[in-house]
Formats: sequence, C-alpha cells, structure tokens
Amino acid sequence: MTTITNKTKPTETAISLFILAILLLIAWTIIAIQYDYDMTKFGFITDGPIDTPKKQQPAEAQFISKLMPKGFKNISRQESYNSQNLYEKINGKAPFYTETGFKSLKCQRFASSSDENLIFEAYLFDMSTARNAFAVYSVQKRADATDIPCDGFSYKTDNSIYFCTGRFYCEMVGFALSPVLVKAMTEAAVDFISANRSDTQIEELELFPKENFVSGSVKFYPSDAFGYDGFKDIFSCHYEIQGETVTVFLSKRESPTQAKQMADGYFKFVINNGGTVKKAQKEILNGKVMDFYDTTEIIFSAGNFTGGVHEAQDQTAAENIAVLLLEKLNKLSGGDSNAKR
Amino acid sequence: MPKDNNNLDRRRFIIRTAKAGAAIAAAGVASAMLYDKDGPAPGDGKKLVTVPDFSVPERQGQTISIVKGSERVKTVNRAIDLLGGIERFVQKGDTVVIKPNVAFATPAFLGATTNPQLIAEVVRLCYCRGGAKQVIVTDNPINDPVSCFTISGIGKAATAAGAKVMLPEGKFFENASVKDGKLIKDWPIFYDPLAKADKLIGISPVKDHERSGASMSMKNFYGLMGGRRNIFHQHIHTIITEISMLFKPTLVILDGTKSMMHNGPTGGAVSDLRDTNTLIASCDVVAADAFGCSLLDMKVSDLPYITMAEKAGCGISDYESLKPIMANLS
Repeated sequence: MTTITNKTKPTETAISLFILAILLLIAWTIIAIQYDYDMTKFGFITDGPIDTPKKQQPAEAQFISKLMPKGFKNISRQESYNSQNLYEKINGKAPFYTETGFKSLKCQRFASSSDENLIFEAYLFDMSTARNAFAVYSVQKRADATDIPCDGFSYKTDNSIYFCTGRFYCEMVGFALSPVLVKAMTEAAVDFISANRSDTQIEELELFPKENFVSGSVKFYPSDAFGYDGFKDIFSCHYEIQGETVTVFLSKRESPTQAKQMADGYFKFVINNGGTVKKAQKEILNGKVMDFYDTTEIIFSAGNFTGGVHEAQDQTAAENIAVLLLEKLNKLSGGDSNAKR
Repeated sequence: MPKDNNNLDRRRFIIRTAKAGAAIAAAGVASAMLYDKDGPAPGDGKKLVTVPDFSVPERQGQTISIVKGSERVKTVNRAIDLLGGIERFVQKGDTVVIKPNVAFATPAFLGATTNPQLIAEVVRLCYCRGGAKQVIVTDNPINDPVSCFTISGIGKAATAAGAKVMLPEGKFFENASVKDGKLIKDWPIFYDPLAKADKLIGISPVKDHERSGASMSMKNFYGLMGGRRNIFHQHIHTIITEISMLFKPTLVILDGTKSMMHNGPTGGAVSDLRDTNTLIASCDVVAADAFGCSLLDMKVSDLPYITMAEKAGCGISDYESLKPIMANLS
C-alpha cells in the first residue's frame, strides 16, 4: 500500500512564518493606534498640515534673546510654537499665519531692570521667506504707524514695534504706554534688523523706481487687490509727483504668459466696470491706458511681471512713472512689453 | 512506489482550498464587525452632562439695554438697572459664575480681554445688591491660565472684589453634546463651575476676529469648551451657533467702551482700538451681538453665526423689535 505523506519543504515553512509575522505586526499596529485616541501622536491631525517640529537649532534659539534691549532682562521662559500649536498662543489669528508660509514662533517677555513696570513681549515669527514675512507685515500695518528708519521694514505705534527682515516678522508689544519703553524696543529692533539683514530681497520692491518714492508706502495684497479677484500677490507703493500721489503696482508671475493673462484680466475687469480706453500721451503706453471715472488706470506686462498705475488723478504723472517702471522691466526681460498689454 | 509523495490529490486540494476560504471569510467578518466608520470619538466613554439653562423669565421691554458713556462702572450700573437691576438676575444665596474673556496674557489696556474694572463692579453688584452667596470668575484660556489671569489683571480684580477665581483643571471637565449638533458631540466642557452655579453672566469686549469676523457675547462662551477645540475653527460659525445652543446665560454684558477694530482677536497696538463708548446688557445673546457688530462697522449679514443662532432658536437678531432701552451718560 502506498503511504502518502504531506511534508512541506523548509522554505515553504519559512515563508509561511514570515507572512504570519508580518500579519501579526500589522494587527498589533492597528490595535495600538485604535486604542490611543490622541491621534496627533501618529501624525493624524484634523486642523492643518503636518509640521513635525524639528530639533531646535541653537542659533534659532538665540534669535529671540537678541531682541532684548540694553538694560532689560528676560522675565519669562522662551515659548516655541509650530503650525500645530500656534493657536495656543494667538488663537483665531493662527490661520492667518499658517496659510502664509508660517514655520515657527518664538515668544518671550522682557522687563527693564530699573523699572519692572516697563514690560514687553516679543513675538518672532519665522515665515519661511522674505516675501511671506513682508506679506503678514504689510497686511497688518496700522494706519497710525510711524516708520522707523532702518534697513528693513519697520514702524512703531504708541506702545509697540513691528518689523520684518528676511524671513522674520516680529511684533514687540509693550505692556505700558511709555515713550521710554518704545525707545528701548526701537533700538533693539533696529539692531536686530541690521544684524539679520537678509540677502533674500523681494524682487518687486527692488524694481520700483526710487525717485519720488514715498517711504513706508509699500503694501502687499495677497489677493483681491483693487477689488479684482484675479489680482494676487500684488505689491503697491506711492509716489509724490508735483503734488500728486500716484499708486503704482507690480507683481512677479511664474511666466510671461501668466503675467500677460493677469494684465489682460485686469484690463477686462476695468472695462467691464465702466472704464474706457483712452489715448496715451506716451507711445509706449498705447492701448494700456484707461479712463476710470475720471481717474487714470494703466496696466501692462513685461516678461514675468504685471504692473501699472491705479486710480491716478493726473494722467501725465501716471504715465511718467509707468514709463520708468516699464522701461526697467523691459530691460530686465530683455525685450519689449507685450504688444497688447 | 515512492513513500514520500508531495503531490496533492483532488480531495486534499479541495479541503485545503475550503479551509483557506473559510479563514479569509472569518477574517473578513471579524474586520466588518470591528470596523468603526466614524473613527475614534472625542469622548472617552464618560457619561454626558446636561448644561443647565440659566436664563431668567422674559420681561417685555426689558431684554436689552444700550448705554453710551466712557466710564464702565457707571455704564454697567445703568445698563443693568434699566433691565430691572441686578436683583432681577441674582437672588439671595445664589452662586453666580461670571465668564469673562481671559483668552490672552496681555494687559487690559490692549482690549483683548475683559476689562477688570468691569468684572470687579459686577462681582460687587452680585454680592452687595444681589445677595449672592458666592461669585466664581472663570475661563479656560488657550494661553497659560495663570499668566492670562495675572497679566490681564482679571485675577487680581476679581479676588479683590471677593470672587473666587477658578482655573481650569482636567478634573473639572465633563462631556456634553448639543442636541442635533454637528460638532459638539460628546465633547469636554468646563462643567464644574456650571454644576455649582445658579446663574451665569458673560462679560466680553467687542473685538474684530480674524476667523469669525467678530468676537463678542456669543463667542465668549467658546472659553468653556475643552479638548482640542481649535479643530472647530474651520467651522467657526457653526461652532459659535452650537455653543449658543449649549450655554444659555442669565445675562450678558458686552463692553463696547473701546472696541478692537482691527487685528483681532489679539490686537497689540492701542491704535487697534476705537473709543465706541457703548455698553450693552442683554438677556438675549443674539440681540447683543446683532447690536454689537455695528460698533465694528459691520452688519448682521457680515457675521453668519448671528443668523444661524437665531434660526437655532438662541435669540433674536432684530434687536430693534425687542425695544432696547437706551441711555446716554456721556
């Protein structure tokens, strides 16, 4: 009689055991995760992008202490926040930063060694890029601001200092209405800006013509500039030309095609809202100048840039500054501006 | 014939296949039984609590008062008196919980938190005229509570007036749900002070808010929520509505003496504030906010949560229909 035995080979046994081990590992992982309701431990979050805190760099840890004025001392521990817990410090304001490239926030309080009532809290936001830092600085700029002469962008109010330099945006909020406190914070801010002058300049700001430029007038519109939803990432500034204030704007796009599309879009927006094309005084601006309820709008693109003038009272002043800007952009892009716009 | 034969015969193959199929089917059934399509719930199996309704009976023509003036002690006294006096709201022996906005560790003059002078005066009224047995001042700030109560001056003012300051601790939280709510389901709330309370008074400043548009009476009670409440920010109008369905205060005091017009809710510069010199006392949170938004140069339609809360039965946005009582102490 034939005896049939069912003997598996060692290889088959080994493979089977390996597969079983994998299955057990999967099961264990699922059980471990399911029984721990703090999902954030495993990177599952419901309120924003995952931003695993990196090991604090010694250099970064020192940045906030550089905001301490002479004659002051720190009176609180340094606080650190990332995009996951920024709301714990600034609550409903957090999305404004996290949606604008926020990376980290360091905070600390300082007090005068000679007068402990003179306290301020410094908030140092790392916004990843100079552009992001300027965006949050510009959008929040107070109407009663007094610009602080310095290498970066900075202003003061009756109790606080605000500035951006490189990728940093900083608020120094005084806990008292004190000129002495504001003076001390100002000096610390200016020193910080000088020591952290960044090479990552914002291209648009370097391209605005310097003559007649109104210092401190630069504004950044992340979206909906001048009421047009297609106008995103627009920088604007003012010029004083023979008593007239002229608003000039500029934006760098990804490509000449995008720049032209933005310019065309804004042109149509103005026309659709009551604007009419008018004859340009300068030939280079032909087809680019519009009358909008007795003000002058100019829109053009050159290379990767979209630029123009908004609601100018005087067409001559508007065209003069527009030509300066357009020629600069043409030189940069190595050619003429787009034929139509 | 060879003794070892590894080839399967048909019978053995069928048996093995059947066993494998049964194993797969069993695994599938087990998975289906264990599958939780809703995911982990925020709660941890605690019994749900019911938040008491602290509202007082309605009195026609005495639902909302609006007082103009720059001195908070005077305006709050007048505003409450116009609604019948503190005695209408606080009776002898009551335990009163006052819920101010203590959200940030910033000084009072920056307007990001409730003015401590106002809190002290309301505490005094509760004790001296209302005959309260105890007044508790409490909040669950996002920032460190000790810093918030200290630097805002609220802790000192409340204690000096005789109130007990209650800081949040884990054991003070219980889970609650809003009936028909989409967001507040089995969610931790700062319940312990409410469990002790006979009356609940909210006192909050008028502030611009980056997310919701404004932070006033209704949003003030967000500070009684626990857990990772920031996950509700993306549904901010719904969560404010559900908070208004959950917490029904006795009275709200909306301080528009200085309103934060820009850069809310944190502010930071005194220039963010405008002297609007108005204080509102109201038994209707929706009406309070509906008027309050005008101090921020806003309309009711700019704040969707007001209309949503009205639809949910939390109050009336047409505050004019409630015949507000006006006074001017300027």
